[in-house]
Amino acid sequence: MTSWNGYLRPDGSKGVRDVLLVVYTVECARFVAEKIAADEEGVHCIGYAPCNDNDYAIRTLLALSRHPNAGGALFIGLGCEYTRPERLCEATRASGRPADWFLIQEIGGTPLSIAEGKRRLAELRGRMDETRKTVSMTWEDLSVGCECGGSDATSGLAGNPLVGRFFDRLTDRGGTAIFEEMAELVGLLPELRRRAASPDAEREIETAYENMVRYCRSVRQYSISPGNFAGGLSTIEEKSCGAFAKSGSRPVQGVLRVARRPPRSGLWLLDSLPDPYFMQYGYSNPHDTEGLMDLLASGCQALLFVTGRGSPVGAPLAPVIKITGNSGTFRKMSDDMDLDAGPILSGERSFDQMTDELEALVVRVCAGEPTKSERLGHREFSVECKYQNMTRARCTECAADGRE
Amino acid sequence: MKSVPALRLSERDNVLTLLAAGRRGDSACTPDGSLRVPLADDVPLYHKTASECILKGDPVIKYGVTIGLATKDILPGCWVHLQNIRSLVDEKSSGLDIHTGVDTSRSYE
Repeated sequence: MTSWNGYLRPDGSKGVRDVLLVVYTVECARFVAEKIAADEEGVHCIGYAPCNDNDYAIRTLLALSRHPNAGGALFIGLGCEYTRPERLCEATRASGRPADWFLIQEIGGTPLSIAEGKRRLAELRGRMDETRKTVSMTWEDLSVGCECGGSDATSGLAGNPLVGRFFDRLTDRGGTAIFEEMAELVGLLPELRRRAASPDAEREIETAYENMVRYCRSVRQYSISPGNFAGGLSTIEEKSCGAFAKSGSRPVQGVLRVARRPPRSGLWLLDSLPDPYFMQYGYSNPHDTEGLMDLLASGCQALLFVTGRGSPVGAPLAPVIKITGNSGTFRKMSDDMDLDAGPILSGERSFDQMTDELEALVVRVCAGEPTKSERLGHREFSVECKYQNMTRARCTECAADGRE
Repeated sequence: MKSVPALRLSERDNVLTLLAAGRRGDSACTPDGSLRVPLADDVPLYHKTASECILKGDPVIKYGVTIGLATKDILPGCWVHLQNIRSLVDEKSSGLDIHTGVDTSRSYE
C-alpha cells in the first residue's frame, strides 16, 4: 500500500510539512513579522491586516495556526488592535503545539522586536525539534483541496477532469477531497442535487446554491469574463460544467463553511460566499489566493491548482501542485507549473495514464519533494475581512430578519 | 479542406469542441472517427460547432448538460457561440461582442 512519512501533531492530526508560523495580528505588525521570518528555513509568515476583528478572521487564523502542517507559531501584535495575539497563542498551545507571542509596543520598536522575534523563533524551533514525531501516512490521512483559476478552455477539458479522476481514487481509498467555487457551479443545480450523498447534503447544497445565485443576480455579474468568452465558453453554465469536473463523480458529503474541517472523509463542497448582509461593504469574486486559503483553513495538507493560462502563486503551510491542460502554457511557464495535462488533449496519454502521473506526483510531494512554487519561495496569503456564520439559513430567512 | 480534431464530451451532446481552429469547409472529426461534421463557418480554437440541427429555443448540450438555449435555428457545422445561444441564468450573455466577449453595452463616459 502507498505510504509516506509525515508529522504527527499532539492533537492527532498528521501533516506533510513541518512549518513554524509567524503570525501578525494587524497590518502595523507586518513589517516586523516579515523581517523575523525572513531567511529562516521552514518559517512562513501569515497574518491579518484589519485593525478590527471578527469571528471569521479569528476562526481562519486559528485554523491556519493549528493546521496539520503547522508545528508551532509565534504571534506578533502591535498592541492596540482588536485581534489578540495572546489569545491566539493560548488556543494554539491548547492544541499541543509550541507557541509564543509578544507586542511590538511592549518590546520597544522595530530593531528590538526583530531581535526578540528571532530569539523566540529559535526557542520554538528547539521545542519542535525535541518533540517532533514522524508517522507513516497513507490516503486515509490525506485531505486534498482543488482550486482552478486563470482558466482557459483546457481547464474544463483536461485539467479539471484529471483532478476529478484523482479525487475519485482518493475518496475511494478513504481520503478526503474538497472542491470549491460555488460561483462556478451556477446553472448546475440538478447535477449538484444528483450528486448529494444524503438528504441533508442535498439541502445544504440547495441553500448554498440559492445564496450564490441570489448574489450573482443582485450584482448582475456571473463568474465569467471576456477572456472566457473569447476562449470559447459561451455561457456561465458551460464554464460551470468545466469547473464542476474537478469534483469527479463521487457523492458530495455536504457543504463546508470556511475554517471548518470535514467531519468525515469523502468528497466535500466548500462554500466561501460571505453572508448577504455583509455584502453591503462590497465583495467581488475571490482571487485564487483567497480560494487557496479557504482550502487550507479546511485542513487540506496539499493543494491542487488547475490553471490553463498559468499562474505563479503558491501558499504558506501546504504544497501547491499546479496543473495545466495547456502544453503551451506549461512550456512558457515551466519554472512555475508542476504538471502538463496537455497530452490528454493531444491524444498522447489517456486520462488513466495521466491520473497515474498525478497520483505519483502527489505522493512524492507529500513525502517532501518541493513543488515548483515551494522551490521559488511563493507564499502568497490573504485572510479576508468578511463575515460568514458557521451555519447558514436559507436566503429568504436571511432577508427576512437580516441574520440567522 | 482539412480534418480538425474535435471532442464530444457526452453522448447526449449536440455540439463538438474544436481542438484546433477550423475554417469553413474543413471537417470537425472526433478521435474515434465516429463523427465528421463539415464546418459551415470559421470556428476558433476551443469553440463549438453544432453536430446536429438545433432549433430556436432548443437546449444546447455539452458535457451532457444544458449550457444554454438556441436563440435562432443552428445548422450542423455552424459556429455555436454568443450570436446564437443564450444562458438560462445570465441575462448579460447576449450583449457581448462575439469575438472578444467584451460587454459593448457598458458606458465609459
